[in-house]
Amino acid sequence: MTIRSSNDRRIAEHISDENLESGYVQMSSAFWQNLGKTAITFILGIVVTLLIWQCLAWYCNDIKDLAMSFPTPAESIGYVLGHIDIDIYGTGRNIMEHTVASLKRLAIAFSLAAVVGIIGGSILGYYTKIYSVGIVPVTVFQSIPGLAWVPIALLLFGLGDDAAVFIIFAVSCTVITLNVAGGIRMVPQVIIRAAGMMGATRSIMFIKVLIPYALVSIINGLRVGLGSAWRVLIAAEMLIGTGIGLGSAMEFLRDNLDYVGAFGCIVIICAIGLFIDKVLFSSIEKYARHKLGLEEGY
Amino acid sequence: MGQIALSNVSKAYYTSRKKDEARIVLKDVNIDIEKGEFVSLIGPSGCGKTTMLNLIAGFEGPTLGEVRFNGNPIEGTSPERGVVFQEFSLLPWFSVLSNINLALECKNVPEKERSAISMKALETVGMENFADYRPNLLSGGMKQRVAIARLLAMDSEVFLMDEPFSALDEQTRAKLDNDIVRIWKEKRKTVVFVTHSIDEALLVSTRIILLSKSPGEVIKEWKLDEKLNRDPMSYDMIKIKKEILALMPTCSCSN
Repeated sequence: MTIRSSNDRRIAEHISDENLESGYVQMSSAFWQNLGKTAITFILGIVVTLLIWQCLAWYCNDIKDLAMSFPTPAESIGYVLGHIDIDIYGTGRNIMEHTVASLKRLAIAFSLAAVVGIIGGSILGYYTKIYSVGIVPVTVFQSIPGLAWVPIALLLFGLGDDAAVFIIFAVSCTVITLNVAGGIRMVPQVIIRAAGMMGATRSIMFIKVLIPYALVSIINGLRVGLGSAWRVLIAAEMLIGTGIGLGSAMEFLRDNLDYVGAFGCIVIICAIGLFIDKVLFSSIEKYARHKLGLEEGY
Repeated sequence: MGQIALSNVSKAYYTSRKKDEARIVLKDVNIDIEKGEFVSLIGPSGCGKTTMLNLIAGFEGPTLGEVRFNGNPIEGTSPERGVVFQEFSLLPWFSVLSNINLALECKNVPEKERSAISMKALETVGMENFADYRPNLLSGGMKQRVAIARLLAMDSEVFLMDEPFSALDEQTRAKLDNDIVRIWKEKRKTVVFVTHSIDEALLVSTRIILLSKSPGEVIKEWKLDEKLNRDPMSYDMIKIKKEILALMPTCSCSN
């Protein structure tokens, strides 16, 4: 049988003698179908995730018969919905307040890291001589695991918010720097030469040539950076007495053997992580790829 | 001294990362190019044609000797010496028009005046209807037309063209060869044109410089009067072609 993609089938339905003549086939916009398709695959993915979790809960509760019951998706999501405006017992704050506190830390630390990482990475990537020296400290800092920054952060800032922000900054900044530098170094020589012969000043070179060309790498760096920032944020909150935040709420709930509550916090952490990566970053990346002419057609 | 002067220029590159050996690509080259000439550099592949162009453009400096432009040593790139690259060199995220506008921005042309200049340059190369297209929608020939329009807008004194049409099909190439001659006759810019095609060189140039196989030296030059009949079947053309073929060394990679 002839191979025909869904695109070909859809276009074939609209081909007639008339439009064969003109060379163009007009049809209705597929915007909503595309969106629907994306939504369905996304929901399907979430269903699979929840199923895996549910199976684990069944296994633990019904087969292994653990001493503590393993929270199911329904219980945990129920807990989250139930605590949106009701304080988590003992912490004096509701889930919304904890989430906002964590996101605020993330936003401050990550925007700092993004600015420093993009500027530092661009400079490292463009100037080969600086790169060979500068890449050493960046790699050294990058090889420090997230939680190993805790003693450094505590020494510098003591217990509290600033220490947590510093850890997040330190972890994501190195990742972003490395990716940005790598992306800039991948810009084809002919493009740099073309800009050079046009007489591009340094600022035009960076802003209009190098950074747009490295955009996919930069976005990837930001994506990985934000992912690790989010993970280390929760861990830092658990270890450093921030008092408020999803991590410290989880730590508190676990200490009180409230596993359903702790799982509820995990649900929020995952939901936010998923949103940032799949909704925010993939649409930005898609846009960048399209702009760079990496996507097929148009 | 001409507008572009290479005096005793040699260029060598390391052959390995160990840096224990260097290969000489250009050997003691002396070339003087007058303002308004259309010079073709021909020679076997790997003979240093592109290297010579890079030296004139200012992308690299010579190992020995000196390259001068209007009497001054070349110290880097300059919009006075525009380049059409063998590879496509437009910025993919800008439209054709914005690509050319960017070159004008580099020259500090006021923003209001840019588009008019760019459109005029695009008209000269017959691309005015594609001003809003992004480069990935253009064919290879169209991209090179835009690259030429970019130099026209920049108003470069010298057009350095590095096998600009070698990636194109034969019909497109013939059309663009004619166009570049037409533009040259209109603007009277100096053109340095690297090609591996003798026919192309015969069609467009007022002077042909034949380089030897690596390390590249000038073997011989031919001056072609502008009014000479460029019909490839004409007596003069066949005579020069025979001379070039007799002297043209085989590719340095073939032995």
